[in-house]
Amino acid sequence: MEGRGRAVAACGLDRSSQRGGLRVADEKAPGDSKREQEDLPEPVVALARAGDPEAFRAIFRRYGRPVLTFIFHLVGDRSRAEELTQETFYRAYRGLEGMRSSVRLSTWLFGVARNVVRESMREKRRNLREVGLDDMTLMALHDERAGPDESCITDELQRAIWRSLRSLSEDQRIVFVLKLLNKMRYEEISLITGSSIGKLKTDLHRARQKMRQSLQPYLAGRIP
Amino acid sequence: MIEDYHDGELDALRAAEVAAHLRDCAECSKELALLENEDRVYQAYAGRVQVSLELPPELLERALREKASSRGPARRHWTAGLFSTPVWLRQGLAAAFLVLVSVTGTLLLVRHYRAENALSSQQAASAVGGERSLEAALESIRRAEQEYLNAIGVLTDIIDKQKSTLDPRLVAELQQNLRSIDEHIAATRQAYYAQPGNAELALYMLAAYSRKVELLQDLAA
Repeated sequence: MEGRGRAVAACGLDRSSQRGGLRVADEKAPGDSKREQEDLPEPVVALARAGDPEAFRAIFRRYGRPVLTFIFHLVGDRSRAEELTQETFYRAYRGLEGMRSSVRLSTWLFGVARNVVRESMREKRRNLREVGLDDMTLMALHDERAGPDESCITDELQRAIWRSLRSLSEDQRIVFVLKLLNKMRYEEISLITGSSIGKLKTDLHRARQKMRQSLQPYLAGRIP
Repeated sequence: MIEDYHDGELDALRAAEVAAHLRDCAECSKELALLENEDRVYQAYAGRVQVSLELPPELLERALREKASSRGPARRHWTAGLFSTPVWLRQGLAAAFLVLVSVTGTLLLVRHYRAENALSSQQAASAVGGERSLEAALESIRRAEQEYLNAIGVLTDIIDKQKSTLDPRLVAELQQNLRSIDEHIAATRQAYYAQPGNAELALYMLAAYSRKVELLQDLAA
Protein backbone atom coordinates (compact mmCIF):
# COMPACT_ATOMS: atom_id res chain seq x y z
CA MET A 1 0.00 0.00 0.00
CA GLU A 2 2.98 2.24 0.46
CA GLY A 3 3.23 4.67 -2.36
CA ARG A 4 -0.47 4.85 -2.89
CA GLY A 5 -0.63 8.07 -0.96
CA ARG A 6 1.89 9.53 -3.33
CA ALA A 7 -0.34 8.45 -6.16
CA VAL A 8 -2.54 11.43 -5.60
CA ALA A 9 -0.12 13.75 -3.89
CA ALA A 10 0.32 15.94 -6.92
CA CYS A 11 -3.38 16.14 -7.67
CA GLY A 12 -4.07 18.93 -5.25
CA LEU A 13 -6.26 16.69 -3.16
CA ASP A 14 -5.39 18.71 -0.10
CA ARG A 15 -5.71 22.10 -1.78
CA SER A 16 -9.00 22.72 -0.10
CA SER A 17 -9.01 24.74 3.07
CA GLN A 18 -10.99 24.62 6.27
CA ARG A 19 -12.89 27.63 7.50
CA GLY A 20 -14.75 27.53 10.79
CA GLY A 21 -14.68 23.75 10.84
CA LEU A 22 -16.16 23.49 7.39
CA ARG A 23 -14.26 22.61 4.28
CA VAL A 24 -14.44 25.32 1.72
CA ALA A 25 -13.89 24.28 -1.85
CA ASP A 26 -11.67 26.16 -4.27
CA GLU A 27 -13.12 29.48 -5.32
CA LYS A 28 -14.95 28.35 -8.43
CA ALA A 29 -18.58 27.40 -8.08
CA PRO A 30 -19.71 23.82 -8.57
CA GLY A 31 -20.03 22.95 -12.21
CA ASP A 32 -18.03 25.96 -13.38
CA SER A 33 -15.33 23.97 -15.08
CA LYS A 34 -17.71 21.38 -16.40
CA ARG A 35 -18.75 22.81 -19.70
CA GLU A 36 -15.86 21.71 -21.83
CA GLN A 37 -17.85 20.06 -24.59
CA GLU A 38 -17.73 23.11 -26.81
CA ASP A 39 -19.07 22.50 -30.25
CA LEU A 40 -17.27 23.71 -33.34
CA PRO A 41 -18.40 26.98 -34.98
CA GLU A 42 -21.69 26.55 -36.80
CA PRO A 43 -20.20 27.31 -40.25
CA VAL A 44 -17.78 24.40 -39.86
CA VAL A 45 -20.63 22.05 -38.96
CA ALA A 46 -22.70 23.43 -41.86
CA LEU A 47 -19.86 22.79 -44.29
CA ALA A 48 -19.40 19.27 -42.97
CA ARG A 49 -23.11 18.66 -43.40
CA ALA A 50 -22.75 19.80 -46.99
CA GLY A 51 -20.09 17.12 -47.44
CA ASP A 52 -16.91 19.18 -47.09
CA PRO A 53 -14.16 16.69 -46.13
CA GLU A 54 -11.92 19.36 -44.60
CA ALA A 55 -14.70 20.51 -42.29
CA PHE A 56 -15.36 16.92 -41.33
CA ARG A 57 -11.69 16.47 -40.54
CA ALA A 58 -12.05 19.40 -38.15
CA ILE A 59 -14.91 17.55 -36.48
CA PHE A 60 -12.77 14.45 -36.20
CA ARG A 61 -9.89 16.45 -34.73
CA ARG A 62 -12.24 17.92 -32.13
CA TYR A 63 -14.16 14.80 -31.14
CA GLY A 64 -12.01 11.86 -32.24
CA ARG A 65 -10.27 11.42 -28.92
CA PRO A 66 -13.28 11.89 -26.61
CA VAL A 67 -15.27 9.44 -28.73
CA LEU A 68 -12.42 6.95 -28.72
CA THR A 69 -12.10 7.25 -24.95
CA PHE A 70 -15.83 6.71 -24.53
CA ILE A 71 -15.82 3.63 -26.76
CA PHE A 72 -12.67 2.30 -25.14
CA HIS A 73 -14.34 2.35 -21.75
CA LEU A 74 -17.26 0.42 -23.15
CA VAL A 75 -15.40 -2.28 -25.04
CA GLY A 76 -12.17 -2.50 -23.03
CA ASP A 77 -9.93 -3.15 -25.99
CA ARG A 78 -7.87 -0.57 -27.76
CA SER A 79 -7.75 -1.94 -31.28
CA ARG A 80 -11.46 -2.68 -31.20
CA ALA A 81 -12.13 0.79 -29.83
CA GLU A 82 -10.18 2.33 -32.72
CA GLU A 83 -12.06 0.19 -35.20
CA LEU A 84 -15.42 1.22 -33.74
CA THR A 85 -14.33 4.87 -33.62
CA GLN A 86 -13.62 4.68 -37.33
CA GLU A 87 -17.00 3.13 -37.91
CA THR A 88 -18.61 5.86 -35.80
CA PHE A 89 -17.07 8.67 -37.85
CA TYR A 90 -17.75 6.89 -41.10
CA ARG A 91 -21.44 6.66 -40.19
CA ALA A 92 -21.39 10.21 -38.89
CA TYR A 93 -20.04 11.53 -42.16
CA ARG A 94 -22.68 9.72 -44.11
CA GLY A 95 -25.50 10.66 -41.75
CA LEU A 96 -24.52 14.20 -40.80
CA GLU A 97 -26.97 15.71 -43.27
CA GLY A 98 -29.82 14.04 -41.40
CA MET A 99 -28.78 15.37 -37.98
CA ARG A 100 -31.48 17.52 -36.44
CA SER A 101 -30.26 21.08 -36.06
CA SER A 102 -31.70 21.24 -32.53
CA VAL A 103 -29.26 18.55 -31.37
CA ARG A 104 -25.70 19.40 -30.37
CA LEU A 105 -23.11 17.82 -32.62
CA SER A 106 -21.28 16.24 -29.68
CA THR A 107 -24.48 14.67 -28.34
CA TRP A 108 -25.33 13.31 -31.75
CA LEU A 109 -21.83 11.91 -32.28
CA PHE A 110 -21.78 10.12 -28.93
CA GLY A 111 -25.21 8.73 -29.77
CA VAL A 112 -23.84 7.31 -33.02
CA ALA A 113 -20.90 5.86 -31.08
CA ARG A 114 -23.28 4.30 -28.56
CA ASN A 115 -25.22 2.59 -31.35
CA VAL A 116 -22.07 1.35 -33.03
CA VAL A 117 -20.86 -0.15 -29.75
CA ARG A 118 -24.25 -1.68 -29.02
CA GLU A 119 -24.31 -3.41 -32.41
CA SER A 120 -20.76 -4.58 -31.93
CA MET A 121 -21.60 -5.98 -28.48
CA ARG A 122 -24.49 -7.92 -29.95
CA GLU A 123 -22.15 -9.34 -32.54
CA LYS A 124 -19.63 -10.20 -29.88
CA ARG A 125 -22.20 -12.00 -27.77
CA ARG A 126 -23.12 -14.03 -30.78
CA ASN A 127 -19.51 -15.02 -31.18
CA LEU A 128 -19.28 -15.75 -27.45
CA ARG A 129 -15.99 -14.00 -27.28
CA GLU A 130 -15.16 -12.33 -24.03
CA VAL A 131 -12.82 -9.40 -23.91
CA GLY A 132 -10.87 -9.60 -20.71
CA LEU A 133 -9.48 -6.80 -18.67
CA ASP A 134 -6.11 -5.97 -20.02
CA ASP A 135 -3.90 -3.64 -18.07
CA MET A 136 -1.38 -3.65 -20.87
CA THR A 137 -4.05 -2.31 -23.16
CA LEU A 138 -4.63 0.54 -20.80
CA MET A 139 -0.94 1.27 -20.57
CA ALA A 140 -0.77 1.35 -24.33
CA LEU A 141 -3.56 3.88 -24.37
CA HIS A 142 -1.75 6.30 -22.12
CA ASP A 143 -0.76 9.53 -23.64
CA GLU A 144 2.97 9.15 -23.51
CA ARG A 145 3.46 12.89 -23.63
CA ALA A 146 2.24 13.07 -20.04
CA GLY A 147 5.34 12.21 -18.07
CA PRO A 148 5.32 11.38 -14.38
CA ASP A 149 6.00 14.96 -13.39
CA GLU A 150 3.07 16.33 -15.34
CA SER A 151 0.56 13.70 -14.31
CA CYS A 152 -1.56 13.88 -11.19
CA ILE A 153 -1.87 10.15 -10.72
CA THR A 154 0.42 7.19 -10.95
CA ASP A 155 0.10 4.25 -13.29
CA GLU A 156 -0.97 2.18 -10.30
CA LEU A 157 -3.91 4.43 -9.51
CA GLN A 158 -4.68 4.70 -13.19
CA ARG A 159 -4.98 0.93 -13.43
CA ALA A 160 -7.04 0.79 -10.23
CA ILE A 161 -9.54 3.28 -11.67
CA TRP A 162 -9.68 1.32 -14.89
CA ARG A 163 -10.31 -1.96 -13.07
CA SER A 164 -12.99 -0.34 -10.92
CA LEU A 165 -14.69 1.13 -13.97
CA ARG A 166 -14.73 -2.24 -15.64
CA SER A 167 -16.47 -3.72 -12.61
CA LEU A 168 -19.43 -1.34 -13.01
CA SER A 169 -22.49 -2.39 -14.93
CA GLU A 170 -22.62 -1.10 -18.50
CA ASP A 171 -25.28 1.51 -17.69
CA GLN A 172 -23.33 2.74 -14.69
CA ARG A 173 -20.10 2.89 -16.67
CA ILE A 174 -21.70 4.85 -19.51
CA VAL A 175 -23.13 7.53 -17.25
CA PHE A 176 -19.90 7.66 -15.25
CA VAL A 177 -17.76 8.17 -18.36
CA LEU A 178 -20.07 10.71 -19.98
CA LYS A 179 -20.87 12.65 -16.84
CA LEU A 180 -17.62 12.59 -14.88
CA LEU A 181 -15.00 12.17 -17.58
CA ASN A 182 -16.69 14.01 -20.46
CA LYS A 183 -18.62 16.49 -18.32
CA MET A 184 -21.90 16.21 -20.15
CA ARG A 185 -25.25 17.29 -18.78
CA TYR A 186 -27.89 14.75 -17.86
CA GLU A 187 -30.10 16.00 -20.68
CA GLU A 188 -27.41 15.20 -23.22
CA ILE A 189 -26.67 11.79 -21.71
CA SER A 190 -30.37 11.04 -21.74
CA LEU A 191 -30.48 11.78 -25.48
CA ILE A 192 -27.48 9.54 -26.09
CA THR A 193 -28.60 6.58 -23.99
CA GLY A 194 -32.37 6.88 -24.12
CA SER A 195 -32.50 6.53 -20.32
CA SER A 196 -34.52 8.84 -18.10
CA ILE A 197 -32.65 11.43 -16.06
CA GLY A 198 -33.88 9.74 -12.87
CA LYS A 199 -32.29 6.46 -13.90
CA LEU A 200 -29.09 8.21 -14.91
CA LYS A 201 -28.85 9.87 -11.51
CA THR A 202 -29.40 6.59 -9.71
CA ASP A 203 -26.83 4.82 -11.88
CA LEU A 204 -24.27 7.55 -11.35
CA HIS A 205 -24.81 7.59 -7.59
CA ARG A 206 -24.28 3.82 -7.40
CA ALA A 207 -21.28 4.03 -9.68
CA ARG A 208 -19.72 6.68 -7.48
CA GLN A 209 -20.27 4.61 -4.36
CA LYS A 210 -18.74 1.53 -5.94
CA MET A 211 -15.76 3.49 -7.25
CA ARG A 212 -15.26 5.12 -3.86
CA GLN A 213 -15.26 1.74 -2.18
CA SER A 214 -12.86 0.21 -4.69
CA LEU A 215 -10.45 3.12 -4.64
CA GLN A 216 -10.62 3.70 -0.90
CA PRO A 217 -7.22 2.05 -0.27
CA TYR A 218 -5.61 4.38 -2.78
CA LEU A 219 -7.29 7.53 -1.59
CA ALA A 220 -7.24 6.85 2.16
CA GLY A 221 -5.52 9.53 4.14
CA ARG A 222 -5.94 12.03 1.35
CA ILE A 223 -9.60 12.74 1.79
CA PRO A 224 -10.25 15.50 4.31
CA MET B 1 -28.83 16.62 -3.83
CA ILE B 2 -25.16 17.20 -2.92
CA GLU B 3 -24.12 15.30 -6.03
CA ASP B 4 -26.40 17.42 -8.22
CA TYR B 5 -24.99 20.53 -6.54
CA HIS B 6 -21.45 19.35 -7.17
CA ASP B 7 -22.24 18.44 -10.77
CA GLY B 8 -23.75 21.86 -11.48
CA GLU B 9 -27.16 20.33 -12.21
CA LEU B 10 -29.22 22.53 -9.88
CA ASP B 11 -30.92 25.77 -10.82
CA ALA B 12 -29.72 28.93 -9.11
CA LEU B 13 -32.39 28.86 -6.39
CA ARG B 14 -31.78 25.25 -5.40
CA ALA B 15 -28.03 25.74 -5.57
CA ALA B 16 -28.31 28.71 -3.19
CA GLU B 17 -30.38 26.61 -0.77
CA VAL B 18 -27.79 23.84 -0.79
CA ALA B 19 -24.98 26.35 -0.35
CA ALA B 20 -26.78 27.76 2.69
CA HIS B 21 -27.29 24.27 4.08
CA LEU B 22 -23.62 23.45 3.59
CA ARG B 23 -22.68 26.31 5.90
CA ASP B 24 -24.41 24.55 8.79
CA CYS B 25 -23.97 20.87 7.97
CA ALA B 26 -20.57 19.34 8.50
CA GLU B 27 -21.67 15.98 7.16
CA CYS B 28 -22.83 17.37 3.80
CA SER B 29 -19.73 19.55 3.57
CA LYS B 30 -17.60 16.47 4.05
CA GLU B 31 -19.49 14.67 1.31
CA LEU B 32 -18.98 17.61 -1.04
CA ALA B 33 -15.26 17.59 -0.24
CA LEU B 34 -15.12 13.88 -1.07
CA LEU B 35 -16.84 14.45 -4.40
CA GLU B 36 -14.54 17.30 -5.33
CA ASN B 37 -11.43 15.38 -4.48
CA GLU B 38 -12.59 12.30 -6.34
CA ASP B 39 -13.44 14.51 -9.29
CA ARG B 40 -9.86 15.78 -9.47
CA VAL B 41 -8.60 12.21 -9.55
CA TYR B 42 -11.07 11.25 -12.29
CA GLN B 43 -10.14 14.31 -14.32
CA ALA B 44 -6.48 13.39 -14.07
CA TYR B 45 -7.39 9.88 -15.15
CA ALA B 46 -9.44 11.16 -18.09
CA GLY B 47 -6.56 13.38 -19.17
CA ARG B 48 -4.21 10.41 -19.31
CA VAL B 49 -6.54 8.09 -21.16
CA GLN B 50 -6.16 9.91 -24.40
CA VAL B 51 -4.43 8.87 -27.53
CA SER B 52 -3.16 10.53 -30.62
CA LEU B 53 -5.51 9.39 -33.29
CA GLU B 54 -5.07 10.10 -36.98
CA LEU B 55 -8.01 10.15 -39.33
CA PRO B 56 -7.33 7.41 -41.87
CA PRO B 57 -7.65 9.07 -45.31
CA GLU B 58 -9.39 6.03 -46.78
CA LEU B 59 -12.20 6.44 -44.24
CA LEU B 60 -13.33 9.74 -45.75
CA GLU B 61 -12.68 8.58 -49.28
CA ARG B 62 -14.91 5.55 -48.72
CA ALA B 63 -17.65 7.72 -47.22
CA LEU B 64 -17.34 10.25 -50.06
CA ARG B 65 -17.53 7.58 -52.72
CA GLU B 66 -20.56 5.87 -51.22
CA LYS B 67 -22.28 9.16 -50.55
CA ALA B 68 -21.73 10.30 -54.14
CA SER B 69 -23.01 7.03 -55.58
CA SER B 70 -26.12 7.17 -53.41
CA ARG B 71 -27.04 10.48 -55.07
CA GLY B 72 -27.20 9.05 -58.57
CA PRO B 73 -24.82 9.51 -61.46
CA ALA B 74 -21.51 11.00 -60.53
CA ARG B 75 -21.23 14.67 -61.30
CA ARG B 76 -19.05 15.61 -64.21
CA HIS B 77 -15.57 16.59 -63.13
CA TRP B 78 -15.08 20.34 -63.17
CA THR B 79 -12.35 20.10 -65.79
CA ALA B 80 -14.60 18.20 -68.18
CA GLY B 81 -15.90 21.27 -70.01
CA LEU B 82 -12.85 23.42 -69.55
CA PHE B 83 -11.61 23.21 -73.09
CA SER B 84 -14.95 24.02 -74.62
CA THR B 85 -15.06 27.40 -72.91
CA PRO B 86 -13.86 30.68 -74.41
CA VAL B 87 -10.18 31.51 -74.05
CA TRP B 88 -10.75 34.58 -71.90
CA LEU B 89 -12.92 32.54 -69.50
CA ARG B 90 -10.29 29.84 -69.30
CA GLN B 91 -7.77 32.52 -68.41
CA GLY B 92 -10.04 33.77 -65.65
CA LEU B 93 -10.47 30.30 -64.26
CA ALA B 94 -6.76 29.63 -64.44
CA ALA B 95 -6.23 32.81 -62.45
CA ALA B 96 -8.74 31.62 -59.86
CA PHE B 97 -6.95 28.29 -59.64
CA LEU B 98 -3.61 30.00 -59.16
CA VAL B 99 -5.11 32.06 -56.38
CA LEU B 100 -6.34 28.91 -54.69
CA VAL B 101 -2.86 27.37 -54.88
CA SER B 102 -1.30 30.55 -53.60
CA VAL B 103 -3.75 30.81 -50.71
CA THR B 104 -3.24 27.20 -49.74
CA GLY B 105 0.48 27.88 -49.58
CA THR B 106 -0.15 31.01 -47.59
CA LEU B 107 -2.32 29.16 -45.14
CA LEU B 108 0.40 26.59 -44.65
CA LEU B 109 2.76 29.45 -43.90
CA VAL B 110 0.32 30.86 -41.34
CA ARG B 111 0.01 27.47 -39.66
CA HIS B 112 3.77 27.05 -39.70
CA TYR B 113 4.21 30.48 -38.15
CA ARG B 114 1.71 29.65 -35.41
CA ALA B 115 3.26 26.27 -34.71
CA GLU B 116 6.64 27.90 -34.37
CA ASN B 117 5.25 30.45 -31.97
CA ALA B 118 3.66 27.72 -29.90
CA LEU B 119 6.92 25.84 -29.66
CA SER B 120 8.88 28.31 -27.62
CA SER B 121 8.55 31.75 -26.22
CA GLN B 122 12.28 32.15 -26.77
CA GLN B 123 11.56 32.65 -30.41
CA ALA B 124 9.99 35.97 -29.61
CA ALA B 125 12.88 37.67 -31.36
CA SER B 126 11.58 36.36 -34.67
CA ALA B 127 8.03 37.42 -33.87
CA VAL B 128 8.36 40.74 -35.67
CA GLY B 129 9.21 38.96 -38.90
CA GLY B 130 6.44 36.47 -38.16
CA GLU B 131 3.92 39.24 -37.68
CA ARG B 132 4.93 40.62 -41.06
CA SER B 133 4.39 37.14 -42.54
CA LEU B 134 1.01 36.99 -40.90
CA GLU B 135 0.02 40.38 -42.24
CA ALA B 136 1.13 39.31 -45.70
CA ALA B 137 -0.91 36.13 -45.33
CA LEU B 138 -4.01 38.06 -44.30
CA GLU B 139 -3.54 40.42 -47.24
CA SER B 140 -3.18 37.45 -49.54
CA ILE B 141 -6.43 35.97 -48.22
CA ARG B 142 -8.20 39.29 -48.82
CA ARG B 143 -6.86 39.34 -52.38
CA ALA B 144 -7.90 35.75 -52.94
CA GLU B 145 -11.41 36.53 -51.78
CA GLN B 146 -11.51 39.43 -54.24
CA GLU B 147 -10.29 37.20 -57.06
CA TYR B 148 -13.03 34.72 -56.31
CA LEU B 149 -15.62 37.49 -56.25
CA ASN B 150 -14.35 38.70 -59.63
CA ALA B 151 -14.51 35.19 -61.08
CA ILE B 152 -18.00 34.69 -59.68
CA GLY B 153 -19.08 38.01 -61.20
CA VAL B 154 -17.78 37.06 -64.66
CA LEU B 155 -19.32 33.59 -64.57
CA THR B 156 -22.64 34.89 -63.27
CA ASP B 157 -22.84 37.33 -66.18
CA ILE B 158 -22.24 34.53 -68.67
CA ILE B 159 -24.90 32.34 -67.12
CA ASP B 160 -27.39 35.18 -66.89
CA LYS B 161 -27.04 35.66 -70.66
CA GLN B 162 -27.62 31.94 -71.24
CA LYS B 163 -30.52 31.62 -68.83
CA SER B 164 -33.24 32.12 -71.44
CA THR B 165 -31.92 29.13 -73.38
CA LEU B 166 -31.73 26.86 -70.36
CA ASP B 167 -34.30 24.40 -69.06
CA PRO B 168 -36.35 26.26 -66.40
CA ARG B 169 -36.03 23.27 -64.07
CA LEU B 170 -32.25 23.47 -64.38
CA VAL B 171 -32.35 27.17 -63.67
CA ALA B 172 -34.50 26.58 -60.58
CA GLU B 173 -32.11 23.90 -59.35
CA LEU B 174 -29.16 26.16 -60.02
CA GLN B 175 -30.74 28.97 -58.06
CA GLN B 176 -31.46 26.65 -55.16
CA ASN B 177 -27.86 25.36 -55.12
CA LEU B 178 -26.50 28.87 -55.37
CA ARG B 179 -28.66 30.00 -52.45
CA SER B 180 -27.30 27.16 -50.36
CA ILE B 181 -23.69 27.95 -51.29
CA ASP B 182 -24.28 31.66 -50.70
CA GLU B 183 -25.52 30.85 -47.21
CA HIS B 184 -22.33 28.88 -46.57
CA ILE B 185 -20.24 31.71 -47.93
CA ALA B 186 -22.02 34.22 -45.71
CA ALA B 187 -21.65 32.01 -42.62
CA THR B 188 -17.99 31.17 -43.20
CA ARG B 189 -17.24 34.78 -44.08
CA GLN B 190 -18.85 35.99 -40.87
CA ALA B 191 -16.87 33.42 -38.86
CA TYR B 192 -13.61 34.32 -40.56
CA TYR B 193 -13.98 38.08 -40.18
CA ALA B 194 -14.84 37.60 -36.52
CA GLN B 195 -11.43 35.90 -36.16
CA PRO B 196 -9.36 37.21 -39.08
CA GLY B 197 -6.20 35.49 -37.87
CA ASN B 198 -7.78 32.06 -37.97
CA ALA B 199 -6.26 30.24 -40.95
CA GLU B 200 -8.69 27.35 -40.77
CA LEU B 201 -11.71 29.62 -40.97
CA ALA B 202 -10.09 31.34 -43.94
CA LEU B 203 -9.73 27.97 -45.57
CA TYR B 204 -13.42 27.19 -45.05
CA MET B 205 -14.41 30.57 -46.45
CA LEU B 206 -12.25 30.20 -49.54
CA ALA B 207 -13.44 26.62 -50.00
CA ALA B 208 -17.01 27.91 -50.04
CA TYR B 209 -16.09 30.49 -52.70
CA SER B 210 -14.27 27.80 -54.63
CA ARG B 211 -17.36 25.60 -54.61
CA LYS B 212 -19.42 28.41 -56.07
CA VAL B 213 -16.86 29.05 -58.81
CA GLU B 214 -16.83 25.34 -59.58
CA LEU B 215 -20.62 25.17 -59.84
CA LEU B 216 -20.82 28.25 -62.06
CA GLN B 217 -17.97 27.08 -64.26
CA ASP B 218 -19.60 23.70 -64.64
CA LEU B 219 -22.78 25.31 -65.87
CA ALA B 220 -21.12 27.95 -68.04
CA ALA B 221 -19.05 25.29 -69.78
